[in-house]
Amino acid sequence: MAVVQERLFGVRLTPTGEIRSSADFDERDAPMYQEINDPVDVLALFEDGTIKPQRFRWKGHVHKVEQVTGRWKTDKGAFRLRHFALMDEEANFFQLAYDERTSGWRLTRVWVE
Amino acid sequence: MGRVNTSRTGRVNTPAVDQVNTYGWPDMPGRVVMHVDMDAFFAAIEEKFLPVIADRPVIVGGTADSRGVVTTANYLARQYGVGSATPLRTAARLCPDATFITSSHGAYADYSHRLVEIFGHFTPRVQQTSVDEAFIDVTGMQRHFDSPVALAKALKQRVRDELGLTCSVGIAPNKLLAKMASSHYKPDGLFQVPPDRVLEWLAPQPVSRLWGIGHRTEQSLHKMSVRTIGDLQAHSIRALERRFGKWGRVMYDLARGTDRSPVRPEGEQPREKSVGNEHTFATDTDDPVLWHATLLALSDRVGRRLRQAELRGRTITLKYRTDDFKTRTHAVTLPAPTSSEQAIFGAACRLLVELHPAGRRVRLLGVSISRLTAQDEGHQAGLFGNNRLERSHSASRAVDRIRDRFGGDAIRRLGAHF
Repeated sequence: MAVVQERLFGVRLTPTGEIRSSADFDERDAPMYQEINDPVDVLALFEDGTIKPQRFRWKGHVHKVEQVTGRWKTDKGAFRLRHFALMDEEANFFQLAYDERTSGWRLTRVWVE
Repeated sequence: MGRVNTSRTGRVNTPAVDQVNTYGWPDMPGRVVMHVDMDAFFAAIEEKFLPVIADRPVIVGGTADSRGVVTTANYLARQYGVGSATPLRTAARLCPDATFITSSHGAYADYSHRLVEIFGHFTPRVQQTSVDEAFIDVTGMQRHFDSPVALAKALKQRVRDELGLTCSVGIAPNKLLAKMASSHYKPDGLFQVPPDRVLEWLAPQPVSRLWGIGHRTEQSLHKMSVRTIGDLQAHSIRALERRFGKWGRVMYDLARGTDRSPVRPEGEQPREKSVGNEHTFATDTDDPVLWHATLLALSDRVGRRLRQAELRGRTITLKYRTDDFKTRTHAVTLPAPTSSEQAIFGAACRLLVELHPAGRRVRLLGVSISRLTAQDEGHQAGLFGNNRLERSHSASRAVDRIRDRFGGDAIRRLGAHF
């Protein structure tokens, strides 16, 4: 998966948040979520009262959503954040959040192996 | 209605090896109570989000090198001796191959809320006792389901379909037995206590399985050669009262599976006795500025929770744990009830300054308030409505309104630590 991430993001992400080249990447680093919180462009269907993310673009790469593995909501004052756990077509795992107040999307987490 | 066949173990969701009976509605003429316990709830949610970790030991609570404790371990990790409240660093030693995940409390709270909504489709008599457990009173539902077991199966299926999670269900004539039954076979279990053989079913189980019997009582019982519930059943009520006072009478009833406590839906539950928050420092600290900043943040949270619940309190309790792992609590009672974070903070600071032992670093701080009354109970507004306390209350309410609209992080107290 690290190879896939290197191809996707141009760098490898480490659990401590450092960006390393593949040369000094320690394969023994434990898998974990990387907190990101980047704004992203998302193509989503809003139908039958459900939001269905289809694709998103992050750092110039477009990821096709293969499966939404979980969805939940949290309150942000009078508004809601709608969260999505999802897998792209290359079996990378991400979490996105849709802010109902701003209608904006953020990539909140990436699973790093 | 006749009895339906199932396994001797009572685990009706797996193919039976030995066949005995479970019980229909006519066999349970009194109450029928279910206890639903989600299986490794937080870990199961994380596995659902990340199917790649489902076949690995998963530990939820933080990273392997952080100071906190395990919130939930999945069943694979439990095989290594990791459980809830195990320090994360110990868990990493016990199970070095585990995947550690930081808690997603927002997700867990939402799944918990949806779980209670599912239960509410069956009956409104639902008492949620924690984020992942609930009692459900299903008495009188024979018109809708052939048997209590059929109802429990439908409920389990609905939880699986809508949330993708498994739960274990216990069925019994009361809450005590239902809770014991739900933990009888986990995960994904379903067990019905035989209503005509309650004493026999209880007898071989250790006394510690009865609620309210903690380590100390268990030790006292062991000294009386009482190790199983059957041993406890052999003692007379007088003997138990002589040894344990009123608690002896309660134990006598528990040992016979007697529990009359009702399933109390939200809204019928007694008022909370206290409201509190605590914080563990990332590293032990002897910095008084950091202590006070933390007390300010904790007081702010306690005050907001009081106002949200429309409560005020009089007794402020400070809890602190020093670097020698000694935990102390000290309390002060105010002349009048309050929900003001300033009043709470002031009292907590005084307690810390007066009572903190010199030379010790602090590991944990906690602030709580008790002797609660309703907000409009026994409160007298200032005669002219402009005294300091009133101004402080109206400032707190203004901050509440901002947070209600824009979220908890929208406005913060200057100097608060977290």
